[in-house]
Amino acid sequence: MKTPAFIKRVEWLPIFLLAPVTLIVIAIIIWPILQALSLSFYNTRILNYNEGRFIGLLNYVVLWQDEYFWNSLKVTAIYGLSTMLLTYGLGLTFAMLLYRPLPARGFLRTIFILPWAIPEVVAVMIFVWMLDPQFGVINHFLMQLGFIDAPIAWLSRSNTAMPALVLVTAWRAFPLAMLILLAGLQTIPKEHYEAAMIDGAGPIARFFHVTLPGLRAVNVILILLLILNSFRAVTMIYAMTRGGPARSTETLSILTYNTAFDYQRIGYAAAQGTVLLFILLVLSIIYFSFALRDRKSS
Amino acid sequence: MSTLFKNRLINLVWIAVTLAFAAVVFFPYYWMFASALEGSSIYQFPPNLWPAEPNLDSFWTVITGNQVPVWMKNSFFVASTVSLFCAVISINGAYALSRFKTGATRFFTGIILFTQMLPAALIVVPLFVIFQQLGLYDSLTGVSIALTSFILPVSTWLLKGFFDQIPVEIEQQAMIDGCSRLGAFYRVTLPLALPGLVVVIVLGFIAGWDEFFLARTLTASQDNWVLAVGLTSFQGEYTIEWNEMMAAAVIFTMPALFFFMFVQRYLVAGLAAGGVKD
Amino acid sequence: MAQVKVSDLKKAYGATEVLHNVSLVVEDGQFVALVGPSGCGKSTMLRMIAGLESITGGEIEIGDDVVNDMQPKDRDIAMVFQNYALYPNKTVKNNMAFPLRMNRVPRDQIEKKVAEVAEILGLTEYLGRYPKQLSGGQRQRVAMGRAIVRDPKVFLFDEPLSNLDAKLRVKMRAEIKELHQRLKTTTIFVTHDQVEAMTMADKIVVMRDGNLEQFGDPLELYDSPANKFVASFIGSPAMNFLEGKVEGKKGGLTFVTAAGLTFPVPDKYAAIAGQSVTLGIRPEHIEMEGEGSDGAVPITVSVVEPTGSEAAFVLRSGPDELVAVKRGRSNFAPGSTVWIRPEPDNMHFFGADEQAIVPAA
Repeated sequence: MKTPAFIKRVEWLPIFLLAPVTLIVIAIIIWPILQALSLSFYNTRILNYNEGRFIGLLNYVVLWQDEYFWNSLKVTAIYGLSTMLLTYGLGLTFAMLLYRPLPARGFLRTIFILPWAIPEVVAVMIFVWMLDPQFGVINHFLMQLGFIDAPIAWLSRSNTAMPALVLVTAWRAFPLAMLILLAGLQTIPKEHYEAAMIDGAGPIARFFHVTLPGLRAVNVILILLLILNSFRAVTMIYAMTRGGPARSTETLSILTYNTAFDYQRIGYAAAQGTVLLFILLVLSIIYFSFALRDRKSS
Repeated sequence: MSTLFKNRLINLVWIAVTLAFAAVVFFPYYWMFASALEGSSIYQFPPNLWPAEPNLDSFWTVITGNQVPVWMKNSFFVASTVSLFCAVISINGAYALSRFKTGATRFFTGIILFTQMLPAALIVVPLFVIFQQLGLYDSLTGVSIALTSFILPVSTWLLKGFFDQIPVEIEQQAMIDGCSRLGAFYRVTLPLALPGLVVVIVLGFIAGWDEFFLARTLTASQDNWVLAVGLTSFQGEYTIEWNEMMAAAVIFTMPALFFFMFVQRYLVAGLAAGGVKD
Repeated sequence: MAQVKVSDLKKAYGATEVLHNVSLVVEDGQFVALVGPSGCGKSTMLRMIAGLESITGGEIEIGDDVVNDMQPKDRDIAMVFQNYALYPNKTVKNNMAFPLRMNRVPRDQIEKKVAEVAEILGLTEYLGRYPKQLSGGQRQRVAMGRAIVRDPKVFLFDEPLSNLDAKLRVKMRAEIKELHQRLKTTTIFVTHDQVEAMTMADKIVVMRDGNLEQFGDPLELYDSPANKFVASFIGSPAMNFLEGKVEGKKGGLTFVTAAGLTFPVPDKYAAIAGQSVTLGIRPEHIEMEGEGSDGAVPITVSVVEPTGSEAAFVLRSGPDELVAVKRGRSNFAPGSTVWIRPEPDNMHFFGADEQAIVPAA
């Protein structure tokens, strides 16, 4: 034999082709993240960035006793769960409505997707205007319908700011959920419905015995995705309330940002952000394990 | 009662319910346009649900002001540089991901998944300091660079999906017909994937146009603000002119909406084809 | 034109080897079919010859050159893929001109050559069309045209007919064979369809699990398969197999199954008397009679499958099952008893290792 039986060759071409993208992402995303992890062990402020003092786990000890931190965890959980529920509920309702072959279905679907197209900041601006305590159209509608007697200053009260925030978030996020669920509905074979009808199942029985089981895999992934997104969310919360009033909408993301840029405590902010990173890491691992299992089984 | 009639009735009710929901969902859009057209007479309660005297004064005020045009120009700069750089840089990487299964491609796929879960609030803390040290702070170039790298993983992954749809045999045929491996890619596969490249460029543009958080963190002076940052800066001020804000919001939304409609088909098809599983 | 020589060819993906030391020589001008079930390595081998897969071990020569480390473009080959791989954004003419253009053939020669090949394949009036405006058979012809224009040393075909419907496939089969007779270019043709291989090729390579099972003329494979796999793969309907024992009694050898079905065996197989073997007999080599005669064995007709020109019979005797084919019409009804007699010269025996047992001369 002229050639050796087995030559292990390194394929250089893909490495060469992927190098630019990889280097950029490492420089501007991975490297800062690693820096943030290390910053969380220092007492650093923006002004003395280069001469921060190593304090070990002290930031985390302080964090453990920080009531604002625990408050932010509670706010994050409330925000995540309620946006998830509302987004999913709207998404499923509209997906079911659009699943039926209707005239002008394409047009209707476009209408339902429109909120997704709007810049997040604009969505916030519109809702802030609609929720305006003096001239807001939402107060007007609610008074007309008899739900409230007098206008409410939604965004200035700590018990109404969160519902308002959830409303905007869900309004802009439901089209994604709807499209994913609609795609999921389309993967359920028509024959399953036909078989159920022949077996005597009515519309409600068909929903519980055919539709929901058929959406199971999509549901798990979508729900995790929605929770993940709300944990990372910054733009809408920051643009709408900056965490206020009275920290009632201050999620862990926003707390991290405020600690860094309002209070300039970079080391402490890095510790808060690191906790967030770990929560997201755990959620992502669950998410990807479901996503991979789903892909394998299909 | 015939089933045909019953079906028609159900269809009718179904359409009515769907339209009612559609109206509710669409209302914020409508209210943005209505308030912008209403002008300064929006300040009354109860509000006019239909503009009493529709006019374009608010738009005129916004366009001829000395802030919004500058911010628009900045947004356009960020959006176009980000979309072009993302597309150009991701082409080779996406090709590698689509056509090879090696350690390098697995490593990069891992990086893509990892970056997708990272909290932006954490990254910007050190990024803020790093950009200050590099002299990129408070410059549109800095915003473009940061945003480009945030979007690169996504655009690479998207483009890979488009390359996946071009049969590999066509490329191999080109190799047999006299092209080198990369020659076959640039001469044959890339031209066929042009629609995909356009989608990636458009999505990059939308992301750049809409961007708020990075720009808010990495710029300071008003001349370097993008639209999203500029418009939110009015919030909380007592002298806020909501009709002008809504006019600016319309102007801000239009390009994003236009491009979104343009790629909507691909978004829906992508979700239907494999987005659910990815 | 050139011969293709494959020596000790090996292919492995990581630790799994999918091609084990395959050697074969395709003579200049020959039409060789690589046939085998899916996953047998036939396509992998073709793609290694084309240069689309790396070579783990061994050597490939085209003409006088070892091509192991040559780019596909430098091997002077042409390939037709299963899905044709036509450039969808180029017209028929530009599809065919592309390989010439890549090889820097002067423009006027390209025009001439493309027109010439289009004429041969009856594509002249379609030159301005795009692939999606063509029918399956026309696309197939364009793919072949693109291969022919280059006048390469070797044609490689990777299951080119499997996307066509049955009728068109038979037609294209004849067209490709005719084309080969005219051009006399060395051709390697991969297919999973043994009928295609039998009807088109000068020589057939039967492969299984990355091994070359047999290499020979079509009729040689049919008449004397080297092993049970080749015997079962070549021929349609497939060869019958019965497990049993060869017994040497007075009056000659017999083959007896466990359930007692017994056939006489020619004397040339005396060497295997007393051994457990597998009997192979093709459906067309079983004689059937309506009434018993000397040496014939009674058996029950279980199913009749007439096709008009011939009929297939599923025959059962206890657990033993055989298929027999008889030309013309016959009136054996399901449930009736017939007498069968395997043609003695067309009986095959396979040992426990599944290799064919060669009778004494």
